[in-house]
Amino acid sequence: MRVAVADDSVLMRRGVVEAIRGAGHEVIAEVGDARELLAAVAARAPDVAVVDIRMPPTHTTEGLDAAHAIRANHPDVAVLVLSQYVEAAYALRLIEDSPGRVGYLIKDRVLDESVLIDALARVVDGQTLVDPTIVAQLLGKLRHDDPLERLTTREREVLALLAEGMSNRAIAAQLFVAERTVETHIRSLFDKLGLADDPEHHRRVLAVVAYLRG
Amino acid sequence: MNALLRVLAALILTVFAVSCLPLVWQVPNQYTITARAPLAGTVTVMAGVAALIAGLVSAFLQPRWSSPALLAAAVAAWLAPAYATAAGIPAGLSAVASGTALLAPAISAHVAVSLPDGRVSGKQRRRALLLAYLVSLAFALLRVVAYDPFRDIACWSSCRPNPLAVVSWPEAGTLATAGALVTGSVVIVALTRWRRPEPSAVSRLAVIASGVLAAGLGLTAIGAVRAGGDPARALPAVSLVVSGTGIAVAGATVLAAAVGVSLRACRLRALVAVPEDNRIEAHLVDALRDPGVRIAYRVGGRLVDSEGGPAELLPVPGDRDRRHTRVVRAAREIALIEHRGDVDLTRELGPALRVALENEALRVESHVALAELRASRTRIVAASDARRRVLERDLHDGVQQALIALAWRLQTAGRAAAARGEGDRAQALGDALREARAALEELREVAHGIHPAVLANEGLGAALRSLALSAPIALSVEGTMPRLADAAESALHVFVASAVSVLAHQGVEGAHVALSAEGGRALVRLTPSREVAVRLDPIVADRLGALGGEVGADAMRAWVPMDHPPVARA
Repeated sequence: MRVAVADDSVLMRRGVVEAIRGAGHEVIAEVGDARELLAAVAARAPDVAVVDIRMPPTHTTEGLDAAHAIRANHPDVAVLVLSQYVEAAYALRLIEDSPGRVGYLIKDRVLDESVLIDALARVVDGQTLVDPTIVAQLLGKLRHDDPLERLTTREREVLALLAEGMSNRAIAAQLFVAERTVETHIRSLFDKLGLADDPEHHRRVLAVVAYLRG
Repeated sequence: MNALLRVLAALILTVFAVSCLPLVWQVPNQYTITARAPLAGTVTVMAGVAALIAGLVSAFLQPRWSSPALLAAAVAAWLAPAYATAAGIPAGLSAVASGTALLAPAISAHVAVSLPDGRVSGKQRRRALLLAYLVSLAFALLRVVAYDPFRDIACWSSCRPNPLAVVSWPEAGTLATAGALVTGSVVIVALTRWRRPEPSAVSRLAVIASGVLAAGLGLTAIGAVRAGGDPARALPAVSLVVSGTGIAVAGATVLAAAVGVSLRACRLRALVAVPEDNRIEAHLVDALRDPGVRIAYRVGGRLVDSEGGPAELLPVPGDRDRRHTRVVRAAREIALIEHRGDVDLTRELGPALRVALENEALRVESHVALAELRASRTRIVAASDARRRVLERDLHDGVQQALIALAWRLQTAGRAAAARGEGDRAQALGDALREARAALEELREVAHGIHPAVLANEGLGAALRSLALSAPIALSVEGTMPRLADAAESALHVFVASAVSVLAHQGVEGAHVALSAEGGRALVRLTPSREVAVRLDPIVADRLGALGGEVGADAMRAWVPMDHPPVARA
């Protein structure tokens, strides 16, 4: 896997780069702001770009804008946004803005290299990714006549993994069941929640996350 | 000088009155001016009488003015040739009366120059007038002591001997008459400023009166020299008519001005009964018939208008077109009024109106203070918000990065220790790593509590939906709102957060938040699933109040105005 890394903090950048190299992948560019990232992506065509959400000049959400630009201009390049915000709004914005193959990961994950590498692999593979911490927050939200109460335990597990952006195959592997079983569960829970299923993976994740956020 | 003039006027009027007494029971003889030149004489007498009546009425309306008295004196002196020749008057008095007539031009000049109220401004002008009076007095004396009509062959009126004459010089009469008349005309022409009059009937009349009077006096002077002043001749007759018209117009001017001032005083008195609608300036404009009236109040060393904004009262220029009147009460200047130059507002502003102005000044002062207070509250709130945002950013950028780096080094060191087979050390480092990660988690929550970054970045709607995810009650958020100033979004966010916290305390299970923008206000409405009494921390209302917004009485709704000037984002 060829990876480009963008983060204005040298410490963080080093950490990510070393984690990636440690797993045997190639870091083809290491930059400090969005402009340089876009140039590197255009020049070197990586498989995936890892972007900090907060970069110069305004230090707010430049990473999301960069992700949108990369996904629009280089559809083959996946983007993983690293953020210190456990903030569903940003994850939602990322998924809404960009047509798939994006992921939103909390920065602490840098410390879990396996999670980081796995996330990179998943977005390269075509999945959409939402950090489990955010999904936990979404599921933990208190709701009036909680519709989630109507789901069975299995269905709740499937819902959680769906929100994290896993494909049916990945969910099946995670839960050690057949893919067909997963499909049944999905149909059932979508029915119970009143959601319309969408064959397109990216839009399905978006629908679930948006529903959970309310 | 006023007192002196009044004495002079009184003297002349006394002579006039005394000399007129015989007229009451004696028919004027053929030597009077009316007999000599019926038309000119009648016009002169009628003009004089009209001016006299005008003067008397004006003196009644405006007792403080000196022009009515002067006008009366001028008329009395002016009519001297008419009554001085009556048969019943003692010869000595007749001579004095004729001498008095020569003071008429100077007094008329005085009236013309000081229309309409009799004030003469400027030392130089007063000195010039004094000189004119002295010269005229000299001529009058000359006439009294050097002219004996009995010995003058050109004498045209009652040519009796003059018992007061000490020498006999026939030309003295003509000379004195012409001299006095010329003096009078010169003074009027020199001292009246021939500038464009203010657009008021009175000043236009004043200019006309001065002009006609000057012309008349000049013509009469020439007539005195060329025709001996005999009104039977054409030139003197015309000149008498002209100057008579001037005197009459002067009388009309004084009367019009006196009446105008009285009417104005009535209007100003009526102002006191006007309801207090904070529009004293507009009412004063009406009362004074002056659209340029401006009132400025002194607040904290500055001049402000009735709205509290800076007042533009231009400094008084040299001319008399506009004046500034200071209104003082209890030794304190409370207001400054700009108005027409010919109004003496200090005198005409009654005590009741001063009280009204003082009330208005107090209202303006409190308005200004309130505005400054609100501005300062807004600044304080904005400054505190800015500090919190900076703190949140510092925590995230600085501390969090450092913690992650630390955790990463702990992890690396732990792995290295495990690889070397140092189990205990690996264990210790693993524990330290777990604590570092817990600290990271906590740090995130603290920073979020100080100021959620999503509020500044994405706005109130996103921030409230984020709040709903971790709220202690079931919160649903609906509606949208345009982006507001940071301080406003912060204040509304604080409102919802504290209301939710209170509701949770009261055991309410859930609430619905509706965001809307209507009527220039950004509105947040909270509907709890169960009605409870809610009391919020006063700081919530303070923050909203500082922005010109407020919390509803039931603490379930809050709004801010949408046009509040946005504070720069930090």
